[in-house]
Amino acid sequence: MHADEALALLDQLLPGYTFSNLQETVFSQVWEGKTYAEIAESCGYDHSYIRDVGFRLWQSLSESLNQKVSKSNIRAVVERYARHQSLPAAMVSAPEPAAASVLPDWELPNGPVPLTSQLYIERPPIETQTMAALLRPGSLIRLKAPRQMGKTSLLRRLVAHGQGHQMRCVTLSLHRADRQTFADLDRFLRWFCANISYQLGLEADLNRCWNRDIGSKVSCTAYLEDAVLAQVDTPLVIALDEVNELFQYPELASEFLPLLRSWYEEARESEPWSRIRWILAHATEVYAPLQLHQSPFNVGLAIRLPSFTLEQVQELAHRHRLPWAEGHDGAENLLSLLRVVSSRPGLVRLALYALAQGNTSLEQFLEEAPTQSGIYGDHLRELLAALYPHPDLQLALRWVFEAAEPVALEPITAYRLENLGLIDLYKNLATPSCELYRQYFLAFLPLPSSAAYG
Amino acid sequence: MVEYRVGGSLAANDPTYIEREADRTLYRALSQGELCYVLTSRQMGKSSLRLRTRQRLETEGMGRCAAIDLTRIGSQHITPEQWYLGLAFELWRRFGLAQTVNLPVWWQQLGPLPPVQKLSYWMESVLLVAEPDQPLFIFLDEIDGVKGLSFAVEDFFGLVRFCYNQRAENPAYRRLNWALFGVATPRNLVADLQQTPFNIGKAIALAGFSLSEAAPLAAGLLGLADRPDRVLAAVLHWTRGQPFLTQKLCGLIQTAAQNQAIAAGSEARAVERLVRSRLIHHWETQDDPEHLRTIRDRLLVDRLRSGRLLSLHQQLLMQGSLAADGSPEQAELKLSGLAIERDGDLRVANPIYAEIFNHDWVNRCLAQQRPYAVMLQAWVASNFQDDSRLLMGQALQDALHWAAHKSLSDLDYRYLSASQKWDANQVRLELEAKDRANQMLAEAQRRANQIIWFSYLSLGSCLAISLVALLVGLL
Repeated sequence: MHADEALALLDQLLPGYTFSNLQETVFSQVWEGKTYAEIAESCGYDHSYIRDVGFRLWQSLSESLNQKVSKSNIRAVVERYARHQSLPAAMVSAPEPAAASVLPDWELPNGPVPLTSQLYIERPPIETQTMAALLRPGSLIRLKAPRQMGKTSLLRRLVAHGQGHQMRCVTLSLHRADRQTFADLDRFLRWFCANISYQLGLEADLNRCWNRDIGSKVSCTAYLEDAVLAQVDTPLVIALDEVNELFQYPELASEFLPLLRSWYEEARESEPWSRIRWILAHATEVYAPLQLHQSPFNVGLAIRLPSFTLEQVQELAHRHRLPWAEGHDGAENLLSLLRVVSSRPGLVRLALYALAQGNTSLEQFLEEAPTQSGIYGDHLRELLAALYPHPDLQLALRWVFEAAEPVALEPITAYRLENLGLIDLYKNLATPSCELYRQYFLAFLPLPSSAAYG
Repeated sequence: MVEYRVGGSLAANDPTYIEREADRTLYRALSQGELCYVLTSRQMGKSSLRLRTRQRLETEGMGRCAAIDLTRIGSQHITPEQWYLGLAFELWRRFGLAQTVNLPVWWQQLGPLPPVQKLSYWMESVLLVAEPDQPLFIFLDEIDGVKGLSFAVEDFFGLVRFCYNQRAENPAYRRLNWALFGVATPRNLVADLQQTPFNIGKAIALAGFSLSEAAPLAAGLLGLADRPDRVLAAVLHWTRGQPFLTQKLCGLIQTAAQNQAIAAGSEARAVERLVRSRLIHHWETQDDPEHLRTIRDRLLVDRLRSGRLLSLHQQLLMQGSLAADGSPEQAELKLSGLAIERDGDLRVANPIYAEIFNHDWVNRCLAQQRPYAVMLQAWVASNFQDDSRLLMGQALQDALHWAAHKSLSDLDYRYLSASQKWDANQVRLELEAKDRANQMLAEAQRRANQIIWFSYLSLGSCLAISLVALLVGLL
């Protein structure tokens, strides 16, 4: 069983449970037999932090599955479920959410919004536009937005929409692949093909089509034609999430993206290829070194996910049953919230979740938000941990947060910070993406030991 | 409703496909067995033309076709052996002959022959044999992709030429037809005149849509304007029929006019407003799918050449047109899409480009490239006072050389002329100083001589006095 299948099974078994990106990464790599040290190395985090994430992941999975889960037995546990394809009876009849509790316990506000959730707020016309595009043969949809903007939530809804129309669907999250996978083109294409086959329940016999003598790209195309498209006669959705992972490997990106483009173009003249609908979600602009001889990756329907409007935030607050957010005064109250946490869907949702618990007032919340113990504690620590191994990023970030004016950064630094959602870029000038981050990081970023940046 | 297509190629049956002169020439030339090539800038509709032509050849039963995008075969680390076999393998599959021969095994059996020879042998003894009756058409797209390979593929182009020349001796080769598409100049791809297929093949020129050709596009504006044809004419005024821009602008009009139809008489104004607000204003952030940024990058990416390209473009902006001379700079400017050649003249392709890549833009780019940027900044910062920031000697000569034939900003000229003046002044001062030093030297010498004479004299007089004294004493 492959890590992606295991995650898909868990998604199915625990519909309310959502994994954060990092949890998925840790899960997948533990599944592949990696140690925490190796995982930390491959995704650029601190070792102790990854151990911590892992520990908490097993803990919460143990609770959800009602049995002891650990790094060493996760494979056995999940594979047992896979054999029975179901949960013990006790688990299936999950208790109905009591009317008194504002939010059912299971709907934790991290990760993508579950498909069944009431808390998904549509941002017209994006949903209808993308769902219509998905039904067109040979279409390609690009979802572009920083972190915490709801890319994955929309992507999952699109995939579900495809499934509702009898399409076979594959979702590949590129952050689930370890660093070695990106080391060379051949390895990456093999990973890509194998995962597609696994998810479609096809035998992944790569060696049948893979031939060193004809090169990886030709092999990969032949594989998709013979071992995938020839085996599946329904329309097929291939969704790639976190495509921005690829941009860190410019050489690979400049090989793979044009290949993807050529497959997309092939749909115009070949029936099998026109059965594929591509969905690509990425956090930053397509960032690959300029290859003058290649067509740019500029095809398909490009959707830039916007932040919530005030009305949308108010609607979400309404669904959280927050009386103080209703009406005109409520809008004023919400504005004071948005000034700190910005109107990024992910951050707003966390805030409303915390406020809906009823233990804290808005003022108290705003005071605690940028601290370690606030609701954003985990999220902020995760960002801090991501910055930890990179003093250059810390320095640049401090510079942006301290400046009164937009700041010009070196492109790669800017790209990496934007990728983390920490800055907004407009015409190469960086500004803090929200007040929450500014306050937290100015307090917790290590002070620079050398002279100031730039 | 007719939907406009922005970016990517159009399916052969797309209602917004516009048939042009090139459609007819390419089809005619290919069906007469000519070796054809379409080399032009990005987003001119090359791939759509290829698709359409292929479909027409197939439906009219002219033969079998295979189309290959070369970016799909090559990669940076691929070996020549893999590339040639990959090409054969793809051709084999695209012609739908996959099941008959195990190609990699067949290829291996040929042993250590050069790969291009294996490909040639394969075409003659396998491909043409497997399909013994019908003509075969091979369409190669993105042929400029070969420039990214780590080895030269001149041999491959040599093979294409060879196949064409073989027709006289081996009739089987008459069934093999080639059409090449890409963004390159023939000279870019193959320097060797003996190997190039481009001087024996037929170049197919791909121009923008003319007003009459574009007429079917007005169908998408029905009901959205009183006079759709006038709207279309206004669109073509701005785009000059550049396919990508034309489709994009029509799409923008379609969306904008949903709310308010374009009234008779207001067509030009309505279109201009959209062009300015949605294409030109903040073009770098509105350019999605990417089109204008590709043009910009193509002009600026090669630091060594971009100065010359920019100044050529600047001349076009100022003079309206220049005589086409086939120089590498002109060819590159055409490939970027920014300039087109018509009736022997080179000019900026359309008013949209002219407004976006205007004088100010060129000046800003040149400003970033000027070799004396740091010194100039410091000079400006000193409020034009700090003469030590001016250029002198060799640095000045280099800067003047760089500035030649460019039209730079007033600030550049002010700086350069201040530098020249300063430099000349320095030279004059040096000369004067030398003069003065010489004078001083002469004066000093004169004085020294005087002193010497004076001392001779005094010595003489002393001597005379002492002689007199001696004589007086003796007497």
